[in-house]
Amino acid sequence: MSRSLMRNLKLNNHPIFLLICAIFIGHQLNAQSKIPEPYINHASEGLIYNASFYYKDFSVSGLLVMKKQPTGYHVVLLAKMGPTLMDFIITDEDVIWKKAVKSLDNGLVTSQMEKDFRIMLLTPLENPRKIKVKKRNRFKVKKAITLIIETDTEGKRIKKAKTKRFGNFFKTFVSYHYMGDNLVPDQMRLRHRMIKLRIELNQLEQ
Amino acid sequence: MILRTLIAFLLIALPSMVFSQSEQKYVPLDNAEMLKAGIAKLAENTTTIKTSFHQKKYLSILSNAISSEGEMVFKKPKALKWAYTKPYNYMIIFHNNEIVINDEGKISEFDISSSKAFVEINDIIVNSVSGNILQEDQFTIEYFESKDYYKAKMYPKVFRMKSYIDIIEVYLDKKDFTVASIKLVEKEKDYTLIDFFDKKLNEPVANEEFEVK
Repeated sequence: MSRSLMRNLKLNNHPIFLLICAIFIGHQLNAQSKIPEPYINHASEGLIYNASFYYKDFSVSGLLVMKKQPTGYHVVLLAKMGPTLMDFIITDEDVIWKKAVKSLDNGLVTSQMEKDFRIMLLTPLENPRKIKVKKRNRFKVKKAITLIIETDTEGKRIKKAKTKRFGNFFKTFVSYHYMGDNLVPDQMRLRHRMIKLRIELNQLEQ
Repeated sequence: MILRTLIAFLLIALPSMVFSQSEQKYVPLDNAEMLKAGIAKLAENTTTIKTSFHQKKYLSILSNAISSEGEMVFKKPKALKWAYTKPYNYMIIFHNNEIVINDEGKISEFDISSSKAFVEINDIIVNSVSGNILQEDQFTIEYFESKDYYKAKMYPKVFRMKSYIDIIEVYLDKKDFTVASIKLVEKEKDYTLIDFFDKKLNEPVANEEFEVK
């Protein structure tokens, strides 16, 4: 029906008309879609999660503290018995390592932690270099890394995030789960396409 | 009038009444040998310990401490169960040169010697609860006392331990030389404070206590 209409109106041969349509639809999407704030903006006192790390058949757990500070996103990983295992600050383009216990202080681990928490914390949402609306609830956000972000239907909370890079096999996926009307996720799950490493965070009730 | 006097009394007296062991006023201890002898005697006479604990982790970036609580069971010579029951279920058992972890039902086992960090954590906890904490070959120790407690301020000598612990403060009850609290102070002055209460010494403890079902 619509094809015959198009044919009747001979619009297939009118690229300018199609361009106007695309701009109009894009404008409508932009008007309707609003990118939510990073969830950590709703937690000025910081967030504490029960964290589990899985690598192949091995798993280890600890407590994870995340807080947004003027210097950047402060991440502290604690052993459940108390001592700090890792302590770092993610800035716009860099990471400042304050502490990593000897067994975790190697380049592979620390760089993977930085990458994973940059995604998990949705750092590109803070003063992004470029934002592109893909669909009503999907955005492409560019900064030090590029993320495809998916929000809920109301556009209030981010449900999913994944890395986006041309020819990137090592994609990372994060899902965010909320209870009730919380704007801060109660659960987060991170997984990789090619690396058998998973991170699960469950908010700690104090 | 009586009510006003009572409120005034409570306001003045309450802060001093609720001072924990770490907040009492301490002076250097003159006779450390007496303390060491008391601890050694306790260690010799103690075969089992069961105690509840409250743990608080203080981080400079958080305004409130992260609190947890649970139970600790020790049996000579070196069986230790450290079980958190709130706000998460996490149990770590050191027994027969093995470490077993039950993390919300996920059980993992490994050889104690495979992790130097675990060996050190195990040694600190086992030694402190069993009364063998004052190891002068591994720590430079300063001794203090208050009205109710002795305090041993221990500075690690070993480089590996120095990298994650700055000072260990052990608070011992003057009445019976048992450990009342342990404070693990890290770099940046973040610290973990573990308070022990409901201590039961030399009660029967079955070996099954150190098995994960």
